Amino acid sequence: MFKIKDLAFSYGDNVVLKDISMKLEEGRIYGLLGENGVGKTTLLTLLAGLKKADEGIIDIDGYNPFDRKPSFLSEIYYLPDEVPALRMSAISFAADRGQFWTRFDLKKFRGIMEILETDENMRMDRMSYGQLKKTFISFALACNSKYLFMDEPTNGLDIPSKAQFRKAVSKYTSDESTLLISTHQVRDLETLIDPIIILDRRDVLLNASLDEITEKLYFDYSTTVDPDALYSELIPGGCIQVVPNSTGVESKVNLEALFNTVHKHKDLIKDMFNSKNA
Amino acid sequence: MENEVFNWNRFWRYLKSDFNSFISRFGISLLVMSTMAVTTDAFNGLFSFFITGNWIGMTAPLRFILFVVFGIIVMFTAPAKLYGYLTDRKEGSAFLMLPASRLEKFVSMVLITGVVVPFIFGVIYLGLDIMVCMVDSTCGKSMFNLMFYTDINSIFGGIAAEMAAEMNEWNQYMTNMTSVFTPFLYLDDIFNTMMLFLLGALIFKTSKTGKTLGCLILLGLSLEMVLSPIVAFTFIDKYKVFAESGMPDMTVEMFNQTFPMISWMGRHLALVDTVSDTFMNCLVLFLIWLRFSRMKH
Repeated sequence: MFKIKDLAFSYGDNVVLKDISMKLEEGRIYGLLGENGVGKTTLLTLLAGLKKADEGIIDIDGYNPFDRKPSFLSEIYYLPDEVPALRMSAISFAADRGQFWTRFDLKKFRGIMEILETDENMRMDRMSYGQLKKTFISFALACNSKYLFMDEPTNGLDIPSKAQFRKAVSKYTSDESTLLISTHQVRDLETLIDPIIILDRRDVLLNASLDEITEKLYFDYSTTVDPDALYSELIPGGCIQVVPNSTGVESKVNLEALFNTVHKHKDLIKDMFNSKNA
Repeated sequence: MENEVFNWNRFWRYLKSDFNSFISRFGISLLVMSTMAVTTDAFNGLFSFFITGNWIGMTAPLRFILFVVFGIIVMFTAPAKLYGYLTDRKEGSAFLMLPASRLEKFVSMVLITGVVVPFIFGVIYLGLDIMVCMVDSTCGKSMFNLMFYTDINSIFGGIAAEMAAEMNEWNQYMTNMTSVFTPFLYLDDIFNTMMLFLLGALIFKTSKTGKTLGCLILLGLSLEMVLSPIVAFTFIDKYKVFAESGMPDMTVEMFNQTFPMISWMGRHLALVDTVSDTFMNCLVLFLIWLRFSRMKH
């Protein structure tokens, strides 16, 4: 069980998160979206036990993350946006640190490193930022932890690597694992993440699966502007519009349009998807 | 179900990993410092050879001073090099997320810093010094021999004996004071120093060694400023008596009666030193635990 209730956190007087509540289902790859400074990274570090919540409850399988109990830590892995360049080879790092995660698989690490085209024998302090990031992504996936939190994992990756990342996550994530991926680069992960969580500073604006989203919202790619559209944006060859789905017709979710719609109509969207956020 | 607080298997696994990290972070620096026994003697010998035409090894007191100097450098710098990264968000997060308990990480950190580093430095340095003394006959006795067998005790014992000869009735009293000259009594001081610098490494984000040193100096001066007047006002009358009577006329009995506490401490210096160091070690360990267990990123 993964439950957050009335979570609050501030840096001194600067309130970053307030009254945040949500439930996460197991075995899903969640996309955590939000504007700059709404506290996505803070939320991930709170879930990983790196920070202590000022108020509220975080309950992950009965654990309070900040207790940092070894049995809890071996069930999670947090991949931060910035990773350290250690003075050892990637394979030594994996062999040394991997032994602490009970389900860590060195073969899998090697397999992912191969997919991501990164030399496992290269010293980490001599790697480029992208190579370093790919090493940590490989390690994170090879840990086979039940919960995996990734903060901007595609930052620093080149275009082919982003596709390789999606391939590695799809191929090497077990059905039991729950991933929570924070990102600004929604296009990088559009085909990967489902459900979507959109975070606001003092609220969870949306926590819904793509099916639920398309059930309630219709993403219209046409040349004519709908006056009832919740959001519309001109794109080459026409426009993308988001309208309430009154007909039940399925459409392909455009995450950027969804994000902008949610931010433009916070209360409306919250009412629409209210039951999931409680 | 595994013990969440302390599990021997997990601790052993963690200690090995921590030891590997120690080798990677401080191994070369420690090796350089530990081999200074050979390096400095070789430099000294070569220098004297080019100047005088004779190979002259370093004398025991000079070698001992260098041993202390390099030892101090290791004690001051090792904690920051080994665990200073914990205050760094990137590396510190990875450390906190490693599946081992807080206690296991803490014990491993204290063992590596306070025991393993000084032990390796001491063994290599003194071992190489023995080898240097075996090869270079101009060096005299090795430091190991000096410290653990005869000469240091006899050097200091000699001073005590000279003083005792001048003031015969103080003989017993002064002999007691030489009990502090055993090298074993300084092991807890070494541990204490390393723990203080470890605490500094966990508190300060930058210039860890310098800031720790600065804080210790400031703390020392502040305590001196606070305690000196208190001691002076407490004992001012007794000091007058002591000064008026003059040291040669002062008997041990008079001294014991005038300054019973100081006299007792003088007779039990080793015990006082051990008790105060143990208290300090416990206090610093507690502060390290407090800082470490509340670490966030």
